[in-house]
Amino acid sequence: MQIKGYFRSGVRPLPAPFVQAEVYLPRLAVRGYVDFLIDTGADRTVLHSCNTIVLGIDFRRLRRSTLEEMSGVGGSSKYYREDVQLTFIDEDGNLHRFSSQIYLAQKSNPNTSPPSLLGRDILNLCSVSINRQSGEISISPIMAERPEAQPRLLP
Amino acid sequence: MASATTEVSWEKRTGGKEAGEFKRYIGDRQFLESLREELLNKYPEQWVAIYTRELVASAKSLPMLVKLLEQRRITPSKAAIDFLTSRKMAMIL
Repeated sequence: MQIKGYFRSGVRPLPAPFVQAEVYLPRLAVRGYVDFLIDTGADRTVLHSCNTIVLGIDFRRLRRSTLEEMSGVGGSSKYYREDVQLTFIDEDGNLHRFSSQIYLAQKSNPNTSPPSLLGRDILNLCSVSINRQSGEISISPIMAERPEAQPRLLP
Repeated sequence: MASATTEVSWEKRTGGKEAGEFKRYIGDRQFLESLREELLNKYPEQWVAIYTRELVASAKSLPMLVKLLEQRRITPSKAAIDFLTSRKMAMIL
């Protein structure tokens, strides 16, 4: 029961590991599919403009009180925090749903926007395997091995 | 500053209709990836949308593509969408 990812080239010179999830933002009643770059360098899972536009996020409904500054290689940016349900599908058609929080980037040019990122807030709860040579990417929620697991606080 | 902790819970469900729709989306993405070079030749520097293994819209801007999809009564976030360009840009995230 592994969640399978894929390698995408697109605008990048080297293929990058992606995985699909259904994103549901309950407060905004927004739902849709997002292809996330699997990013072990990201502390948080974030949505960038290429996806917030497609999801139809109404930025007037986002709360300024949730704005948080995050730093990256290109400098720091502010992101809105929202509760989220991220659902992945495994090879057997089972759905794996993480209830967490996600960070929405402020508006930018989607043509040059980075992809949305699946960060360690989710990845740390999974076993992740990325093998470019075989072309295989697999993600297994570690929590799946402990069905009694309760919500956890990540450091 | 980012908050220090994030509460995360996980649950597993069996598929059903929700899984069927999810698989359809994954198939559309695979379809787009398999046709990427061909589409790039036909629609350079454009956004394209695939839905049920069919190219349903193309546009020079993402907001315009979203409008075209809505006019066709296709929920944009259910379609596989990408920007096609031959310009390679290295990204360090």
